[in-house]
Amino acid sequence: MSYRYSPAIAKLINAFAKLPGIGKKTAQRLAFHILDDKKEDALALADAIREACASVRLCSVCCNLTEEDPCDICRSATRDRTRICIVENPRDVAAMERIHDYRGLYHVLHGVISPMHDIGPEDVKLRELFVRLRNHDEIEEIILATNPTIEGEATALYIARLLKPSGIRTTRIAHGIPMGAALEYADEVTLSRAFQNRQEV
Amino acid sequence: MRLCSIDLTNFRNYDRLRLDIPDGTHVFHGANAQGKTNLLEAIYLCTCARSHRTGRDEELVKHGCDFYRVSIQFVTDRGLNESVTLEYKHAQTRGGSPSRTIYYNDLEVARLADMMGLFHAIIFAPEDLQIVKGGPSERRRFLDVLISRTDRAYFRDLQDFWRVIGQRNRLLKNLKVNGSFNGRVADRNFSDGRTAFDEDESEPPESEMIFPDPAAQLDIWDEQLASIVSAILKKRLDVTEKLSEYASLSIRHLTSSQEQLDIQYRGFGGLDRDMMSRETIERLYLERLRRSRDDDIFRGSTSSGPHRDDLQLSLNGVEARLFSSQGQQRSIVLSLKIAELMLLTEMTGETPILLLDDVMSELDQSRRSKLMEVIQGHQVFLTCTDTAQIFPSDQILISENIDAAVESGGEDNRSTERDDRTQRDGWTSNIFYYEVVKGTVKPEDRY
Ligand SMILES: [Zn+2]
Repeated sequence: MSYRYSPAIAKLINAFAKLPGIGKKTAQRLAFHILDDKKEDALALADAIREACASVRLCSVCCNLTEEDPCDICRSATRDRTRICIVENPRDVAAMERIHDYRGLYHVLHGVISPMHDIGPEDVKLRELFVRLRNHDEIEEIILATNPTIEGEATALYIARLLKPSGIRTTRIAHGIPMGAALEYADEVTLSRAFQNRQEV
Repeated sequence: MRLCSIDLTNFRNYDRLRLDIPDGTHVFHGANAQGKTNLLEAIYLCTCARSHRTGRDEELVKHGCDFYRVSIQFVTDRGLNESVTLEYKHAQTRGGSPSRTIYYNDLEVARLADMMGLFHAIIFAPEDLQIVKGGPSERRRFLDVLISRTDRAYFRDLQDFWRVIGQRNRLLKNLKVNGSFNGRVADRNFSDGRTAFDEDESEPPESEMIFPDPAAQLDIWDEQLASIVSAILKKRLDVTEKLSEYASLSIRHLTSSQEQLDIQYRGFGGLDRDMMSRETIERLYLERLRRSRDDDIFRGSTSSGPHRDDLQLSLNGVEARLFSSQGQQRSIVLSLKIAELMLLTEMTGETPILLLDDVMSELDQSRRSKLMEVIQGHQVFLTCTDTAQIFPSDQILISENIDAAVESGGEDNRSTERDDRTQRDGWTSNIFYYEVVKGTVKPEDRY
C-alpha cells in the first residue's frame, strides 16, 4: 500500500504533473516546496497565474497572445503592413522580434498540421489567416516561418498551395536552422541568416 | 581501426567487465550461454546503436537492473584515440519513456544519426543466414545499416521517411473514416479544387470555402514523401550495384568460381537500377502514389515505397531464398559480409574490426581458409565453444605460425615457402585466449 496524500495535496500534485516536462516526482517536489515554507510566494504565484489567465487572450487579428486587443504589433503605426510572417507559436514571435530585422506583422498558427496528432488544417489558426487576407488587400508578402520539421514543412507547403491562386508573394525562410531544432532555440545569428535568405516557394 | 578497451556495466549477463585489449586476434571460448556472444554484441552495438540480435534495447539490460552502459576506446587508422559510450535506462516511471544517451569522446551526441560512422566493426554471426532465408525486412535492414554507416544523411532520411509515412498513413485512415473517399477523391486536388479565393454563389459552409477537399492535404504529404523516398532509393540503387559487384567477386573466390551471385534491387514497378537520377525517381514515385491513392485510402496504408522493397539474391540464375541449399546459402551470406567489409573499407578509408561469432565451426575447410585470407590485417574477435574448432591442427602449428610471422617481419610479407597448413590457418598476428564463464572473462596465458 502506498501512502495516500490528503485530497488537497493530491490535487496540487496532479495539477503540476499535467505541465509539460514535469514527472510525478518533480510534481511532488514542487507541491511540497510550495506548501512547506513561504506561503506568500506560493500565493503570489497563484495570483500571477490567475491574472495572466484572466487578462491574456488571443489577438483577434494575428492570434498572438496579448492583453490588449489588437496586440502591440498589430496596432503599431511603424510596422510594415504589407508583410505577414507566419509562425507556429507565440514563442516564435518573441524569437523573431529579437533579431530586429523584421518590421512586418505576424500570424500565429498555434500548431502545425499533423495527422498523427489529429491536427488538420482546421485545427490551426488558418481560417483566421484567410479571413484576414480577404479583409486586407494591402498584404503583398506572406513569409512562412514554420519550423524546419516534417510537420512544419508540410504546413508551409500547404499554406503556399492555398495562397497560390491569390497571387500574393509567398516566401519560406531558408534552412540555416538545423533540421529537427525548434525555432525558439536557434541562436540569433542562425535565425537572422535564415530570415535573410528566405525564398519563393 | 583497433579496439583498445571495452567496459561493460549491467550488459546482458555481465555485471561489470573491463578488458584492455592489445592488437592481435582475440579468441573467446567457453560453454554456451556464458556470455561470449554478448561481448561481440556489445562491440558491434558501438557501430550503429543497434544489436545484431535485437532491436529492443531493454533486452540488453542485465536482469533486475535498470540501465546498461557499454564503453569502448579505439584508435583509428589515422592514429586518433577515440571513444564511444552508450547508456540506456529503463523508463523511470510507469508511462515514462526509456532514455538512451550516446557519447563520442565523452561528449554527448545530440542525434543518433551523428554516431553513425564513428566506429567500424563487422559482425559475422549465425543470425546472418536470415539475410538470405528471411523475409524482405531482413535484407532491407542489412542494406540500411550498411548505407547508414557510411552516410549519416541517409540515416536521417530514413528517420524522416518513417515520420512522413506515419503521417500519410494516418491521413489515409482519416480520409477513409470521414467518408471523404468517394471514388472522386483521387481526381480532385489543388489544381481543380476550390480554394480560399474562389467566389462561389452556392455558399458552401465556411470551412469548406477555405479548405479544399481534405484529400488535398494528401498532395502535400505525397510530395514530402516522394522527395525523401527518391533520396533513399537513389542511394540504395547505387549501393546495391556495388554490393552485387563485390559479392559476386567474393563468391567466385569462395567457391572457386562454381557459383554465380547476382543482386538486384526490387522496388516499385518502373524503377530501374541503370542510373536513374533522383529527379526521375521522385517523379515516378509521385506518379505511383497518385495512381494507387484510391487503393491506399481503402487500405489505410502506403502500398509502395522503400518499406516494401527487397533485394533479390539470385544464385546461378535462380532465387537463392527458394532454390539454394543450406551450404550455398552460407556461401552467399559469407560473400555478402565480405562485400560489406570491402564497401565499408572503400567508403570510409578505415579498416573495420571483425567480429566472428561462432562461424568457423559452420564452414568447411576451403571456405574457412578463404575467410582467413580476407581477415588478414584486421583486428579480429572470435568466439567458439572449443578452440580446436578454430585451430583444428595441433597447437604447435600455431606457435610455428607466430614464429614464422615474426621471422618474416609480419603479415605483409607472406612467405610462399610456407606449407599448405600454414597458409590454411594463416594467423599472422598475436593470438590471445580468454575463457568466458558466467559473465566473467579470464585471460589465459597459453604461450
Ligand atoms: Zn495581433
